[in-house]
Amino acid sequence: MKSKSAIAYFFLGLVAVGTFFELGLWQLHRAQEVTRLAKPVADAPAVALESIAKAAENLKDAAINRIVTTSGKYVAIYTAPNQEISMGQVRQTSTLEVGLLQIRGSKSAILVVRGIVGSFKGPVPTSLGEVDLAGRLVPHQSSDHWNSTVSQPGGTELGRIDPSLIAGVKGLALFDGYIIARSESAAGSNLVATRVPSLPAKSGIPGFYWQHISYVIIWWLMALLVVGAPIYSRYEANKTRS
Amino acid sequence: MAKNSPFSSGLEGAMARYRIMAIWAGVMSLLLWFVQVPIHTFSHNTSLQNKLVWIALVHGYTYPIYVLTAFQYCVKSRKSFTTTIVFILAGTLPIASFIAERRAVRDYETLTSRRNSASE
Repeated sequence: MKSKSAIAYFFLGLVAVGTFFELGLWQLHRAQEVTRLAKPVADAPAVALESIAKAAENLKDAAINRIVTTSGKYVAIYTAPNQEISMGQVRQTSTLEVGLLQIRGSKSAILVVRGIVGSFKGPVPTSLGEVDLAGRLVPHQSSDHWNSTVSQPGGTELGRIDPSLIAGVKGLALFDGYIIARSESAAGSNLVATRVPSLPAKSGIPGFYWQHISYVIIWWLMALLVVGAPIYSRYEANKTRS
Repeated sequence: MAKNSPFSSGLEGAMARYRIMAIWAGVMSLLLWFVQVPIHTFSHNTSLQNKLVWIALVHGYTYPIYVLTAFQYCVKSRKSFTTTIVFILAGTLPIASFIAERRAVRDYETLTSRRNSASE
């Protein structure tokens, strides 16, 4: 009977240690996320997308918020409803047009926020041919803004702007993150549209780096306490007995 | 009696350490809950918000010390598992650590008076 309760306590302790350790890791990732997007990035010079990022790889910290240039052709068009954008001092929610741009001469592609749906004049993006664009490279969104339909047959709505939602589409390797287009040109002429202001991405996580690190310390200390509590209690009991 | 003797296992020192940290954690919790959190939530004055960041930081970094002192005190005074958890969590809520500190003092006085009456 005693051994049964000892085993139960052991497993309970194991679960507690694992939980506390995971909570510490979660806070560590939040701390890293806070610093990752807090670094100031110069808007100039613009760099070629392929020189700072690779398809099918996580976006490197140094690439986040950089102004990039690339060219290719749109192979699919999606919409991203309920996206919050700032137009001057006014914040509004809009449906954005998001294109999947296949990079020229490669089997890789990147999502491009082209602008607000309905603001484009001219041919449909997939019939534009080669497009040259410049824009800000930002990390993928991690929380849903909409109930996505992209996974359904014929669905073209993205719940969040995240290439993982369209993984495997057309057999292309996808870049992490997406570009908020500032300008596009096709066949030498600029494409006019209501663009989304491409301000540097900011962390949505409240708090400061060192604040999150203090939570890491607390959670991992709790894990250590669970491990050390029986040992210390036994030590104290032996000391008192002797 | 030896089981509960406060003087056989350094309980006095552990309690003194716990009392200091309980009062400290209580003061920091009061500042956090009634100064920093309301200003951070309801005020849009970012300069004021930035000036008060130290409260969350100091509380965050001193709470682990509170946890250690509370744990040591609870082990030395043979508190139950549940009471130990309650003592540890008391450092996160305003007032609660003050109540826990008063309870620790009361328990200690009870043990001391028992010891004195046993030795007479």
